[in-house]
Amino acid sequence: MVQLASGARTRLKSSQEYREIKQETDRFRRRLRFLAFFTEMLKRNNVDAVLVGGEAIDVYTAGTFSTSDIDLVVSNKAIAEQLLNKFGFEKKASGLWLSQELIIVVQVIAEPYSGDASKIRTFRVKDYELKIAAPEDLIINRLYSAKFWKSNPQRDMEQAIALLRVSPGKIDNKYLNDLAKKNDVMDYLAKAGAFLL
Amino acid sequence: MQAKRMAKIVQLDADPSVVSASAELGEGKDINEIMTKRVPGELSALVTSSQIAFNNIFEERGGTFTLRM
Repeated sequence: MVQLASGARTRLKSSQEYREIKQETDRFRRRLRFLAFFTEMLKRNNVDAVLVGGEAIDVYTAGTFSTSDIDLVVSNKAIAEQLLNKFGFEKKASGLWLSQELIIVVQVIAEPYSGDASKIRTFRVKDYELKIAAPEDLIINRLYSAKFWKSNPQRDMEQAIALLRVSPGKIDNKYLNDLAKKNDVMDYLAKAGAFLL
Repeated sequence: MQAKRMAKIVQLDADPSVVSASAELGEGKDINEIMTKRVPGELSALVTSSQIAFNNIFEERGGTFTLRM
């Protein structure tokens, strides 16, 4: 098992960047800045990370459709969890990592990333890059959830509709339609697409 | 695999408080029925505000979105 250098916790938490993140009063910006800094630290340890799930939707909708936790798909879960620990996060029984200082909850998910890696969007926060799941993948994920899982279809449909409208950069309609066919959600995609016309 | 992965993602951020209410929304329900909890035009307003907020928060340069500091 790879071990991060001893003293890393002290260095990370006393760094200028961490102090600035901690002092950030805007919740959306605090989460984004932490994520970018954290994924940069992962990158320095040869770990790739992609933001997926509700927090990814939160970024694309600028915090309007906010979520509770941050889901990160990583290429090395052990290192990612060690690093979270160095940032002062505590692992809960649920497997989620909580920072009471930053008021941030993170779920680390081991690869594989289920979407098309070439469609991942790049965001930049100060000097750091943050990779975020493609809106097309997130839209299909929400439509699938609305149609088959039904835990909260209103939320899922709203998020899909919002992503269809606000996604930065052009939506790849062929990729979106192919995914919809593959996941049997063409009907829900049509409904979502028509809702705001 | 895809279904398993999606199940996991959905489970992660499912809100238990709304499961019982939304469970009534079965397959075949029209999207307009699903959206009836919203005041007419509310979702459109939210989406529009999202677009405005995104453009205020991020700046696009060559396909990369940069957080304005």
